Amino acid sequence: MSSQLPGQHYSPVPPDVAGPPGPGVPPPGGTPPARSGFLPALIGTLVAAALLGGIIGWTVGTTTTEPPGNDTPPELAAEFPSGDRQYLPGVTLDLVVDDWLKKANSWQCTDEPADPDNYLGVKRVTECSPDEDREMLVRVEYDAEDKIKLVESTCRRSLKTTACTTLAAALAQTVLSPQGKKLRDQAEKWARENADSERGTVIGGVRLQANLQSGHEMAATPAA
Amino acid sequence: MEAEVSEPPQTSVTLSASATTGAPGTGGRAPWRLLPILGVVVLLLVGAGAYFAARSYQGSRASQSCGGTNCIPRLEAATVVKVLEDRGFTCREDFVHRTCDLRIGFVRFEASLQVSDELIHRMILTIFRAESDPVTESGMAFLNWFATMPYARDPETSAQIEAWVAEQVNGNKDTRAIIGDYEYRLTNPETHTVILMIKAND
Repeated sequence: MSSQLPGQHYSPVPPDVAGPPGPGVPPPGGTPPARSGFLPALIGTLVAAALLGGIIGWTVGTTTTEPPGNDTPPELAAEFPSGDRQYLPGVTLDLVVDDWLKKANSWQCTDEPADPDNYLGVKRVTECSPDEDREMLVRVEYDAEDKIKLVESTCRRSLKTTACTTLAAALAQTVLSPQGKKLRDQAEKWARENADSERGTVIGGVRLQANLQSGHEMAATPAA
Repeated sequence: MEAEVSEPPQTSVTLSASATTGAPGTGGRAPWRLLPILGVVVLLLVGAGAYFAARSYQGSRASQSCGGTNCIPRLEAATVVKVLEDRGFTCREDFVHRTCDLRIGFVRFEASLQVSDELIHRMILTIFRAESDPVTESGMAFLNWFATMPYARDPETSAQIEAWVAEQVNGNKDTRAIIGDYEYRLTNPETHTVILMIKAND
């Protein structure tokens, strides 16, 4: 303690002189010669490093990140158009041609390949008629025995004849018969009442469309 | 006391004197040695910044670059074609277009995809229907599936798009809307035809 007290009084000068040279050196003394080359080098380095880093970072960032989205499409809704709905539900060639037209009414039928450009894209067409003049005609467009796309009746007799109305009603009844008595009767009733019109309806997934373009027409197609 | 006060200036004078002699050796090398370190630090900092900026930019986009234009992100046209074929559609390939169609009765659904770099740039959905019947539920499901495809992971936007499509179809209007990165255009060129075009903006 006694030796430090005198030292305290004298020491401030020598330590200060000895200490600063290290840390305090660059600013005052080294400035003029060092800065002339150092500053451009520093700026150059920083700019180059920033550019390079930016390019690399951006490239890596964009290539490794997938944009939001999905590589699988959303689920299809139940109502989304489906290939299994292009055919009349439950209707077969047997039901229309054999049971209804041939057995019950003794009609004559012809069956041939469809025109390749036909609108519904079917493979074959069957046409049935009770006689040679074909005033009454039923046309069936289909891909296979149980893949029927269209059943259509044409009746070229004068308006409101019972025969035409009956034909339309029988057609509606036949194509809806696989779906039970209730829908079958509903279709039969609708066709009977609308055979002389150009109205359409949908019953049990079947679209019934009456038309008067070439006589009385009643077309049954699957409802889209 | 007065003598002590006058002392500090003297020391600072000796200090700077001794500094000039000692400086050139030690002070000249240290900053030069710092240069590469500084360079690496800046490279890493800017690099990391750019990396995260790129990620957030990429993540905020609703479309993706594809062969010079923009497309629906990540969803390959071939995947969509496969889904449609599995559903009973018939598809054909024609240069940059993939066209799929299905006929149910007298209603025809057609989807034409314009492909760029395997992805989908533009979609044209057409419903040809019998007479001028209203578009059915399946028709709306058809339009909506494609319309919401660019925003499949965003239920809120999807709901808005479905509402927009329903409004336009029911209103039988010819309209155009920009929804996010996409242009939607709905037209009724003929009474029995509805066309919805969806295109990623360039």
